[in-house]
Amino acid sequence: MVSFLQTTRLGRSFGGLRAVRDVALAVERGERRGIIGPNGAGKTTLFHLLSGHLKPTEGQIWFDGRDITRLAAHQRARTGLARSFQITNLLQEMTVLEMCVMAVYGRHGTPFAFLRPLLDHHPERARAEELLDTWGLRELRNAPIQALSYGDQRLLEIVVALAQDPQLILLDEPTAGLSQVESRQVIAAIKRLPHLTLVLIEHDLSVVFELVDSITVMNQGQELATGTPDTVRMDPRVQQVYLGELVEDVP
Amino acid sequence: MRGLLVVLAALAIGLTAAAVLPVFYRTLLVQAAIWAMFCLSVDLLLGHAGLTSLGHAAFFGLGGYTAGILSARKLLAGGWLLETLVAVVVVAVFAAAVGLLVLRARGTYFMMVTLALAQILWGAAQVSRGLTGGDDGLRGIARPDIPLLSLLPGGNGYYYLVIVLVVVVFALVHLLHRSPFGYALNGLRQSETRMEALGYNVFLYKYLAFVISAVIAGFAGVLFVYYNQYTHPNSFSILTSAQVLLMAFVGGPGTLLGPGIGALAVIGVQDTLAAATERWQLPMGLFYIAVVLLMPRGVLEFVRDLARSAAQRKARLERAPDAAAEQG
Repeated sequence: MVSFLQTTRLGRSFGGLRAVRDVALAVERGERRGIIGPNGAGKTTLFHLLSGHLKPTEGQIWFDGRDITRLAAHQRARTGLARSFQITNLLQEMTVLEMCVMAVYGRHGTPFAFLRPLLDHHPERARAEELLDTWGLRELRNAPIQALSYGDQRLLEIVVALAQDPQLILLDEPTAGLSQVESRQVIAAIKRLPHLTLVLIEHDLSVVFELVDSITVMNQGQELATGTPDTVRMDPRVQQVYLGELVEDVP
Repeated sequence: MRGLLVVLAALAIGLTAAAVLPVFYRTLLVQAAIWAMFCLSVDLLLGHAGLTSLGHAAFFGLGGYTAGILSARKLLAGGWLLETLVAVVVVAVFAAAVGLLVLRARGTYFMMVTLALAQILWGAAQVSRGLTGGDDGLRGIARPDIPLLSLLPGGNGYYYLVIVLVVVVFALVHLLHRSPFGYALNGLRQSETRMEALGYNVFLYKYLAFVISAVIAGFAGVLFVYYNQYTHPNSFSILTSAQVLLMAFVGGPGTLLGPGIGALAVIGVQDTLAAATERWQLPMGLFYIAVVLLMPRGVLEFVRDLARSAAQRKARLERAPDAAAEQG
């Protein structure tokens, strides 16, 4: 029985450097999993392997009962695997609405739509507008993305992932670089996400403990421990990696 | 509906201009229209998909030579329509084959590979004298005779045909830019990784854009050869590729009308200078330098900026009396 998202002996080497190795991740449907670890632990490389932006050098990835190891990034997106980026990666010259319609269209549309204007694709546009209403971006829908505040751009990263009608979202440091207030808004948004499977990388440990059901700790490319937030917090190996930071940080 | 009116208006303006202009300007307009279509194809890659092709002369020349050879050697009984169709299909097949290779390169490498492609065809056209006439070029190409349009002033129906075709192709490309396909091209210019994450097959989109662009360039090449009733290996040369790229930069990449304005400006300035002096290339160079220095985003954006700042000045002037009243 394979889990909803499962990897077996997943690894990626860059020359002699094994950035990720022997990762056996098992995330169940509906679970919210946090991935933590010090800088250079291989968290983002793991995300690139899961989303298909990097090809693994070892191991397999299973998603929703299918071996997706050989699928390209765009094919994985079309199976319902959406992701956000650590460094905001939005189509800056488009308007908020245009990019959201593109996200809806990207999931099911064909590359052969040459003549009908994007914004005349009514079911897709209606879905995008509905999401922008729900997530409080309605007023900004005709603004070019480059005119948005950084906080709104981080929020848009999440809305765009939702517009892809995903079964699972990979969130790469959703609150990175945000002020306290903006950070609270994004956290509130993630808490409001519908019943989706979520895998989240986050640097701010208090954020992780607030948002997830289970945690995988990575160190030096390997999986160090996996468990509920409490068991992970008490794990002596984890405490050693974080030099006791975990215990002090979380009351 | 509004789009249809704009197309009809463009047709009316173009056809009227061709009818009333003196011969010198009429031929200039027709040449510029053909170059505008060629430039439109280059800008589909340059301004939208973010691919700078330094070898689009390959498709322009191939389309022209195919139609030219068929016409000069009377290989087809079907007339210019069939010749054009065959030429466009040949370009499409050629682009579909080389696109698989060429699109593996990016940035400067893409420029170099496309340049090499055009140079190969240039060499081939020079060498295979039996087919292409080699360096002597190919003569005896019959210009399409269009029965009804020939009744218009000037007695040359082909000029009017070119204008109609160019307007139609611009309208189709405009639709393309606004479609999900066009947005996808603009998206992958901004971020390929994001487009992949959204479920777009980046290579496929680039490939389709490349083939569509080549077909438009090839079609422009056909029109060009019929216009000149002559073709020469230089239609494959780097000068041709560079000229059309310069037009795209002069007009403003990534805009619909940019290619039209760029072609009109370059052809207009060039012909005027050439009529005045034999050493027209020197002032032409100065013209390009002036454009780069004064309007780095192209003529179209430059004019838009002027209009915008004029509007702002006007708004300030209108607000000023109120401010004076408040102070008083």
